[in-house]
Amino acid sequence: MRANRHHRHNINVPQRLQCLAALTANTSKKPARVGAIAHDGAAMRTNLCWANLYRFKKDGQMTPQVRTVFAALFVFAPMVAVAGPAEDANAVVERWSAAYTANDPEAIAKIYTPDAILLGTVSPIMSEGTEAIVKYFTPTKGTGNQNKLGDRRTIVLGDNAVVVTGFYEFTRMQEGKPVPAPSRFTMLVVKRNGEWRIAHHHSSPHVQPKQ
Amino acid sequence: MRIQLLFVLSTTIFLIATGASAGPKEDVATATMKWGETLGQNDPDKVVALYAPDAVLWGTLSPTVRADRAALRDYFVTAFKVLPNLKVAFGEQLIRVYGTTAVNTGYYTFSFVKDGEPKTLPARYSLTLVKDGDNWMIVDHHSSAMPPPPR
Repeated sequence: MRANRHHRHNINVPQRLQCLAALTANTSKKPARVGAIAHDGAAMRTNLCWANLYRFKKDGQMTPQVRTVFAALFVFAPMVAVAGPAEDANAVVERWSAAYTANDPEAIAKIYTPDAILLGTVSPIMSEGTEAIVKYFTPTKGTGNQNKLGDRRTIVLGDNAVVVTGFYEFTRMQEGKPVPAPSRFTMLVVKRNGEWRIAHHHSSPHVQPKQ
Repeated sequence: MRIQLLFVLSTTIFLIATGASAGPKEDVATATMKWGETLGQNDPDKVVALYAPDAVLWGTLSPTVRADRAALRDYFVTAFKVLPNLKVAFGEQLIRVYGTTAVNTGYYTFSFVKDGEPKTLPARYSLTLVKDGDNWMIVDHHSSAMPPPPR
């Protein structure tokens, strides 16, 4: 399954629904060669439909009811399998937020590329590289500080680069009291050696509208 | 033997030639400087033309994110109106290139006139750029006031 995650022939939900309709309506049509690469879009979709159903089919026997059940499963179940750069990059952002909330500087730093640059919310210094990033987050250790992600925007720049930008809110413990700090962030998430990591992170306080 | 020598020679010439021409880092630096110069020309349309159609801008002192062309233009129209004679001077900048994506981040200082007095606003920025043909277009621009030094 994993090898197929970024397969360009992966089909989306509307296409899956088309598959469902096609397969339940027409039981006789079957491509000559299951999984054959067709260059025509519709035929390719049909082949993918069949390729995914074929494994459930024994001796060419499959009642329409069984077919419907499998087709329905095929449409709704494998949502995870269609993850692309946008989903992968957002998963990294969520991991970052969780690591911050865990107050674990080493775990946070591992989410960045070794040469990443961080413009942290509370320091005028640009933190460059793993060591500097660990140092920046070290004061959060054991504080109980938290981070909660808010509205985000995802801009896919290519197969290996995604910008995720939006709002998040820190809750920093100051003299035993939680102090909310609404902030905004931009992260450039890049894929290197098959792994998605943060290459750049700019964080700043959310400017409050003038009253 | 002669062919090998020719190959080595042509490879060497090629490497020298590419080394002499501007690399992507220089191109990104040039695109950034162009943004700075254009900002000083007081023309919203010229500035907006340097951003990709789907670009996002976090303005230095803006509570809202500008995520479409009209909002982006509106930001610069307002900025030029409330900050007469707006100029920007770049300080330290770090550039990273990831194929056709690049980041330029660092410090810049805005200067403008307020109530007849010259003012400055030190800030920091992150520009994410994507290569579109020969041009590097800004796809994300995060600008923020300088945080106070740690106590």
